[in-house]
Amino acid sequence: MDFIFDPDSADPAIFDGGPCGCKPRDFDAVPVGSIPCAAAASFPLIPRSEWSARIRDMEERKARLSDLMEFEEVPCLNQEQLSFCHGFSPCEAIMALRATQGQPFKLLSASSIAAPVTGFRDAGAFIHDDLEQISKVGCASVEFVPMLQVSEDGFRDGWEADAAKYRVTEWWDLGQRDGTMFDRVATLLLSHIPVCSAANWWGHAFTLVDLVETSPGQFGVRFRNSWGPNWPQAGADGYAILNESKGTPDEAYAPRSIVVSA
Amino acid sequence: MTRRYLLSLSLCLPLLAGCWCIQSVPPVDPIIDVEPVITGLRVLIVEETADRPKLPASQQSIFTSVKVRQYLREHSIEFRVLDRNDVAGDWKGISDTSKPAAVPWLYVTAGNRIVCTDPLPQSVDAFLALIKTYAEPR
Repeated sequence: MDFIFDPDSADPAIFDGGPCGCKPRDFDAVPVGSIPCAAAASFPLIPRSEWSARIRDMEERKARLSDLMEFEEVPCLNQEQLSFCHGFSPCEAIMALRATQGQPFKLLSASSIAAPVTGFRDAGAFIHDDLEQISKVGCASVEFVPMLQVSEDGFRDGWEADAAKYRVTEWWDLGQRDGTMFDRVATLLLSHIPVCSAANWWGHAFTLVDLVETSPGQFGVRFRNSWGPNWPQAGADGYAILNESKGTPDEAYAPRSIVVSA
Repeated sequence: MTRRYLLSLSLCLPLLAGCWCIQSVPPVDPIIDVEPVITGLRVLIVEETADRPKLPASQQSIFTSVKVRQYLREHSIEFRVLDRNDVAGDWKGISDTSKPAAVPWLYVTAGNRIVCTDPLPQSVDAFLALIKTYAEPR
């Protein structure tokens, strides 16, 4: 059963699932096109008039990204008390993209992205710095870096070589919230491409996986949080739905090109 | 001595003759009355990620359909959907051997042989019907 997450009326306890650590991007200082690993998104938008039919089709065929992630047993991550949502969101997106590509499942360590970005401290950061880390170094598996690792001494020898196998070589930069941001996100989700999203109202980053129709003609997004499988309620596996207003990202990115293992 | 030699020879000659006879029987091909199932199938879809939004929804569903994944898993068929710029490793040889004429493009290989190189079918059902012709012949 889908959990509709309305932050304005939700039980405050729902926000206690974990810390938030996503610093809002300053688009004047870091405009679209200035992040070396992230090109400005350039794809034709799927018209809103087609959304309902496409959503129904994906549901009936069990071809939503969330369906595939369940089938491939891509787990919900849990950042626990770390402020590393800026690394957990792209980490989940990489695992989702690998699932769509048919690449063998590998549990990747969000801390292998976030800790080097923060200087091996438990701290918030800009998502785009994490994307650069993933582009230059990659994302190591948990065999080399434990999921909840902050200090450098927990990074095992060879972690960078391992991370290079799980490198996103190019991201799409979807830019900032404007009149068509939700349409850009919807187009990617209808194309089975996961989206890393940051919401300034929450100070948090998470991963968008499906476009949903909340009521006839009204749309929202199904997202996966990184606060464990029992958020927002037992058995939800980290999924909840935000309406278009709250679900429209203030900044968003999608993995465009990724290293392929043999 | 000569008698012992002759006796040995008389015992050995029939044996040698028998061996000759066995060796001279021409091999008989086994009769195969069923078409063998091709094992070691691999399926590669080469696409242009930026063009995905232009594809019909029915064709896009092939990429993430659980029905497709279930079938491939049940038949131990390796599967990849890769952007044409990302094709690497063991998969690169396939698209290098036979360049895709368009994207999305479908390859099916059996061992080292490319047994199918075609435009990607338009729907999950059409895709599975095609794959079944290789995984479950007749």
